[in-house]
Amino acid sequence: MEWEWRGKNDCEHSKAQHSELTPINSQPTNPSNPHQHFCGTAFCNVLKDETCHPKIIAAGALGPLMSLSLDEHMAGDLELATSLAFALYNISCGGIDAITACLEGGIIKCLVKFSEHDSLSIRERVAASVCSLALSKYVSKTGESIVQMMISQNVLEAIMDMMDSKEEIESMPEVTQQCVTALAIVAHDPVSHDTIVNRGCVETLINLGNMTNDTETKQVCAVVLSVLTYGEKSLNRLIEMKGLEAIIRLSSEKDTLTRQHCAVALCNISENGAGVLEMLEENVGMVEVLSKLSNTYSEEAQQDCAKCLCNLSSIANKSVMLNKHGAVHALMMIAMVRR
Amino acid sequence: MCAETLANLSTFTDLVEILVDNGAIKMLVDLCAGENKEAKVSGVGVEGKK
Repeated sequence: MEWEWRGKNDCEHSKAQHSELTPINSQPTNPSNPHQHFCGTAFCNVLKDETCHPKIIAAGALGPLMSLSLDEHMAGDLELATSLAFALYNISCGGIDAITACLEGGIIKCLVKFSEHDSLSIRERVAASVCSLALSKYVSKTGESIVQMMISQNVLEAIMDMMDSKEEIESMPEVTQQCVTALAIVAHDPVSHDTIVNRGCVETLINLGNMTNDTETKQVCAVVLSVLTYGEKSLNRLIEMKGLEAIIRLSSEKDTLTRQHCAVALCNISENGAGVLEMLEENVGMVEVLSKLSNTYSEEAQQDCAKCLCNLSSIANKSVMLNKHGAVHALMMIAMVRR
Repeated sequence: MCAETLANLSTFTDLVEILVDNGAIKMLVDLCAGENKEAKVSGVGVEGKK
């Protein structure tokens, strides 16, 4: 089945509205260069205008912007750090030339550093910047894709660290949304799947699917989990880590896209030997799950539910149990709608 | 004062292009580098009418 990524609008188009920053009155924290405090605000504001990006880059602004973002004194100055995070986001929303310049100038290193910051708005901008960069078509001079570049520079770890605690997921849904969106974009490139498995992302996603109450996060979580069911290694890890439970939970959402991706994931799990056996365990109630999931206007979701029922029925000695739970009725309902 | 003024002016969207076209980024780069070049206003003052 084709998987189509639908990028979040705010990753692609929106600009930081940083003019709401409080009037400049806080004190610089770097005594050796008191200008830096205000330079951050200026960087953020001038980079809001995408048409100015070429001139700003030509004037050599990216070097100082990156240096300032990595400066030890910067982190203690919340207003400066916030301005710089917004500045990095604004440049990451630029055209491919601006993105190329900032990637070659070291923006990923800066974003990884900012991802460790305590501030909610800074971390949210980091994740949004990662989304924006990951959606670009950048390829390095050595042929490295943007996803490969991000993986090699520990972006996955940074994303994971931003959504690894229940408290953070509950208190900062915006950050989690952006993080999981970034992960979805990265996961869309199959090159990333091994790394995603090796770095524990599957476990984090399963936890997220099991605990989040945010509708948008659930939607994107379903997207990533379904994408990961396409790769053998990631599918095996997903089954091994009891990802089925998380997908079943997500499948009860009303949102059509979420349901479609859950159907894809369930269909793919049912094609796996260990997966189908887990689905057939009595306490899972798979037939009931599929009956509810197929109650949708989405033809794709209904097809995937039907395929999943077909795979379940291929296991010897399970047909009676399936029938007892209403598998035939579910299939008939799908067939009646999709004659 | 230069950095603070530049930061304040840049909050006005209409001024950003003018600032960029008139060397503000070069000044910003210098300020970041710690080159403490405070603005020296030059030019001829306008005398008031007597």
